[in-house]
Amino acid sequence: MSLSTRLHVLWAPPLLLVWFAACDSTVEQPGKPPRGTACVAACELQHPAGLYHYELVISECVCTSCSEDCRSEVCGNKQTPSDGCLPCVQDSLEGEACNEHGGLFQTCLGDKECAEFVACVTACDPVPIE
Amino acid sequence: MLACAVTALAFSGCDGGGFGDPCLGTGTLPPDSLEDYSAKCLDAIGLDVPAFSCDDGTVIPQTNLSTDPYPSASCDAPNVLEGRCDPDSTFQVLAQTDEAIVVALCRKKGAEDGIYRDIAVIQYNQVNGATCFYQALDDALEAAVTAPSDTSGTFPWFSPPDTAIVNCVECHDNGPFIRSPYLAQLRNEPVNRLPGTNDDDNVWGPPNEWNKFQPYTFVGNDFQSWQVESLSLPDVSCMNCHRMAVSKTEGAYNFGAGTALNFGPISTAMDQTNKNIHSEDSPIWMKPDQELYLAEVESDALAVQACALAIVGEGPLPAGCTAVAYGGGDTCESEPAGGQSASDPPASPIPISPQGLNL
Repeated sequence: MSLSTRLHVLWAPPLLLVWFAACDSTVEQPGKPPRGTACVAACELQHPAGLYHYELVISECVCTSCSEDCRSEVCGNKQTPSDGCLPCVQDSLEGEACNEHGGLFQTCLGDKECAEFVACVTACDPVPIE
Repeated sequence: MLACAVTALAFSGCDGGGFGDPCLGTGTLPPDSLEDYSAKCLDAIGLDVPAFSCDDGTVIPQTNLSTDPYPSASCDAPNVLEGRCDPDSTFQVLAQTDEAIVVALCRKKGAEDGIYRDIAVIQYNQVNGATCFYQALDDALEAAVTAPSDTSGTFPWFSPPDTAIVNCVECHDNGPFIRSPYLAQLRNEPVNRLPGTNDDDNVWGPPNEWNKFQPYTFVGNDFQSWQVESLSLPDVSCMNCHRMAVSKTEGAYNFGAGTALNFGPISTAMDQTNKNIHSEDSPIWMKPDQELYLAEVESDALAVQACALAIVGEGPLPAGCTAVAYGGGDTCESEPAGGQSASDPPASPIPISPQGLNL
């Protein structure tokens, strides 16, 4: 089962609560689940311990599929992925670089809280490119 | 707080001897500050971690490196942590006596000159087994590293609780040092060589049977829940030279890595991530003096992996597969962990059922 599928099964009900609690102005319509960086922000609120672990061991595996700009934003400055960078981070998190050769990042995937945070981020719908 | 800790220790069940169930899990005791941790480590190990520069270490050779950019390049001896060739990374021995050693590994991970992205130190006493881990991870770590004990130091060492999160024991489960070809290739360096890699290295050499009999315990409040178990399995050769092990953190087995679950199969496989094809220049990791793949050696490693999977509760128990807890938090001991030495026979294995000790 993929990370995103697992998230849908395990975290759909809790996420609904967070969506309403954490949505910000980037959400286009009230009541709609957040997408893109707003969704990641909700994940961060929902899994603070997982986020902490993730940020400790974040490595370039998280940015394997990213451009230099996204790499700098996410892996260099450890910022919440922007709408534009989220898709490449999601691809990276589900890819071989993190899952088979992630080095210390694999301690994140082996930790319940951190793995749940990663699954949450991986399941976020991207913001469509206009 | 201290009274609570003492009470917890008294009732922790540690007095049964050895390393039974975890004694003081991370979080049971207050976290150590970096200063307190380094003081405990100095006291237990007898050598301090000094300030150092990563640029002063020996550059770890990445011979026959392909022209692909990091992290895609292949070479004769990639690291095992990530399966990558990591040019310009350095290794150094920071301090050493007959009893203790302090080593530093500075991983470059594609950073520019003078910058590293993963700096780690291991401090170990081979007589009493006391071991400490220090870690820093960042996109731009300066080469100049201040001592963890230096309260005015500016180097961004992880706090001990954060280092515990990194879960070093998950990989370092059969002893303090993983002797893959990545670092073992430095065996002939005059100073900066890994213990257990140079035949003429007296007490620090292979004749001392590294990672087979040396004690292994973890210092500091944040590391007390780490536990290591050594496997036994008939008719496999791996354990003739060194332990094959699994580990626990906070009472739960680690699944992601380790000598038995992961490194055994990697070290004996037909190919290895980002490693050049096995050859004289790029010999296979296991066994020593073997250059090319041998199916019977891989078969041994896979048998040990199956034993490990059973111990951690992920598969059927092979005949004769047992595990014995041989190391853990240093507060969990009722007697000195250094009771064994290279000349002593190993402790009798205690059969362990899948998912736990069966004492």
